[in-house]
Amino acid sequence: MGVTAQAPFLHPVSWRPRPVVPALLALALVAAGCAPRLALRRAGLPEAARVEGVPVIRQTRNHCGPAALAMVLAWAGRPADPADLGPLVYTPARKGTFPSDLAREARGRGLLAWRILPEPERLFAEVAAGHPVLVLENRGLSWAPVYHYSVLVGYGPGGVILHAGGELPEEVATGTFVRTWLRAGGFGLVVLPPGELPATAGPEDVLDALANLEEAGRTAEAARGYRAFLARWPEDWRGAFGWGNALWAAGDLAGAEAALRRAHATAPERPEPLNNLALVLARLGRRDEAWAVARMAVEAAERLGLDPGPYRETERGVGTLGH
Amino acid sequence: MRFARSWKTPTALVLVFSFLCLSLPTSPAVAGWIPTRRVLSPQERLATALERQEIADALRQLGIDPAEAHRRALGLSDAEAREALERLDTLPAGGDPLGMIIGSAVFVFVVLLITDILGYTDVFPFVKRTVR
Repeated sequence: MGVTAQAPFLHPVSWRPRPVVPALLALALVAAGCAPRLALRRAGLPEAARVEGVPVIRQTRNHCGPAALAMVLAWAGRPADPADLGPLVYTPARKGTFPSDLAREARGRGLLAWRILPEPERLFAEVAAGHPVLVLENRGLSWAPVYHYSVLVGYGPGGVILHAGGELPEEVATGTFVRTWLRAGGFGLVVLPPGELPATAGPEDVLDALANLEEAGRTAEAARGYRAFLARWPEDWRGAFGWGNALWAAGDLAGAEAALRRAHATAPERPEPLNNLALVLARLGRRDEAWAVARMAVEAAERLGLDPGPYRETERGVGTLGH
Repeated sequence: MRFARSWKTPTALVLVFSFLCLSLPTSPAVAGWIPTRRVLSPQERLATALERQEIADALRQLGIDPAEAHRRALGLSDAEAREALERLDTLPAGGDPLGMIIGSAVFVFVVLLITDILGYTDVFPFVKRTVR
């Protein structure tokens, strides 16, 4: 392999020698007796799955991070040269790449980056849903770590299939892979094209990932994501709210108005959609309408026992906006 | 050295100032606008400009050039930034783990060989594993 990612912010290396004989005995028992049994069938997953369209990209020394990122970027439709990614994500003094730098770089390119929850069943569920997962493994021991990034593209009775920076995909025993993955803390990054959502994420996680994308300035891609969120969780008003905010930031005032009205229709008791809608209307030059909507926001906040201060400020402000 | 000290402070001030400017919310600056983040739960504490500056400083000490360190620190999400801050003190002191393994040489090699054969680790490509 010859590749080591450093221990990231997430997983500091601790070099602590431990009593050897009990450790070895324990290792032998663990390894021989209890390969982690994956509840694939219980989780409703197929016996085998393989994601197509992930290129095999060879890494250079210590650059497993940039190579793995290049592979998922290419799959998500934003191909990049790993040699160009190196200076953007690699940290020379650590001879490796921090996980947060991979997520950051993917977001900066308009892709949704979500850190999956560290459970093997969820990892395989993403693959079964057709999403490759960028994974960090500790292929060594907790006290002698050998960190390595690769891309999980498949699993089956013969083991898991990794694009691990070599010339060919690697097949690794499922039990071994699950252990090395959990030993590195279970870091797995799903990188998705705009409008696609992780299969195993709940609404809170998806909203958080979309807000990150919005805050990274990729508002058009975030808007597509919020629309997908609405399709999956139509009863959650925050989807339409985020959609409206992203459209506003992208400069689409008419779209923002429609989305925020939808958020208001879904949750008429909430003041937030009304507040932002008032600002959109003011910017559109419909000042009377804006003022009335801002008034409704203040009343909604008072009814919910929220601090009406910020909403009063909007009410005062919409009189002066717009021209 | 004296020269270094004389320009260090102004440079730091300029950097702090540019952070304060750049890390303003990306949503349009309209008073009273409620960003999406505000309606998410659990409420996350936002990383301040000074905290991001601290991360950029740490990255610079890891050999990343100032402009790139700055760009990286600004691009982190608030959760990532806070995670980085919490771990800055415990950042691994050692560099290349493989170097460390070579350092303690034979003992670790033998242990990893055995654990590789047992399928507990996956370090050496030439090892045929017994566990599937």
